Amino acid sequence: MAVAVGRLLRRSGGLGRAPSRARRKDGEWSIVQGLDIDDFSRARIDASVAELGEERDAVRELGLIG
Amino acid sequence: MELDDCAFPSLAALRTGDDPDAHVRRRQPAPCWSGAARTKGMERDDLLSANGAIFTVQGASLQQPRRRRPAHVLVPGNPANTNALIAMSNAPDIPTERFSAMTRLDHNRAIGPAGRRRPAAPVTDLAKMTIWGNHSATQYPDIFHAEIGGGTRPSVVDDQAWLENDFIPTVQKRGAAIIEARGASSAASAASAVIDHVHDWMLGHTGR
Repeated sequence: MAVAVGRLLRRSGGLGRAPSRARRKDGEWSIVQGLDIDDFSRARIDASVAELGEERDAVRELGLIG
Repeated sequence: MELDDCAFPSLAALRTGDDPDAHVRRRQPAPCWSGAARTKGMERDDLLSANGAIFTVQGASLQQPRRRRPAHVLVPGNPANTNALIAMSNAPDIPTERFSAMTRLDHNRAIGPAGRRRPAAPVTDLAKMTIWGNHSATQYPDIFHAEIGGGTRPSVVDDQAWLENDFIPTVQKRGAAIIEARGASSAASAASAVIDHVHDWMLGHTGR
């Protein structure tokens, strides 16, 4: 597991971040699987993802995304 | 001028201009886009609209058919995640995994206080630091998966008070603290994070 690269978090339709692993091949990367996420972490991750959703909705209303 | 003066081995040339079609199209492999900088007292909503026009135009420029290879796009400018989303949405022919918002600065910000906490560890010994979520004050710096010195679990993860009252808010609010201190967004640390981010994205990383 490693976390060097920003990850496109699609569940919110926005660009969030989850741990990812960059391979030594022209920018390919993959998401780290199987991490234990306890309630303490989960609550904070969910709060930030919710904020991303609000930003996405705001720019959609402005007509900046489809 | 200062970029030239750094003599970066990977910096072949610099071009400046305000025509995104001419300049975005040619950049390979990793355009790094910044937007309107956040200044003291400026809210994120102001930034959303200020940057929206920039990233719709630049995203559309990536669609240029004469590109030899699809771009890799790093967006450091705030609100970075949403700016990256805007660019991605306006460049539907570019694979989505080639867009990335820069949270490496948050990652690097988290390593310092974690390493200074006893038992202290040099930054090179800290691996697998994790940042979740938005590049904003809601981001979650997650130390629970970190390792010190090649596999040791840092003892600080058991210090709940330090995590909640010191480590997490310090990292979350670091951007605002920098603005408060210097009256402008981070510059040197952000530029350094761009280098780290693109290096590890293109060449792989060492676990940090």
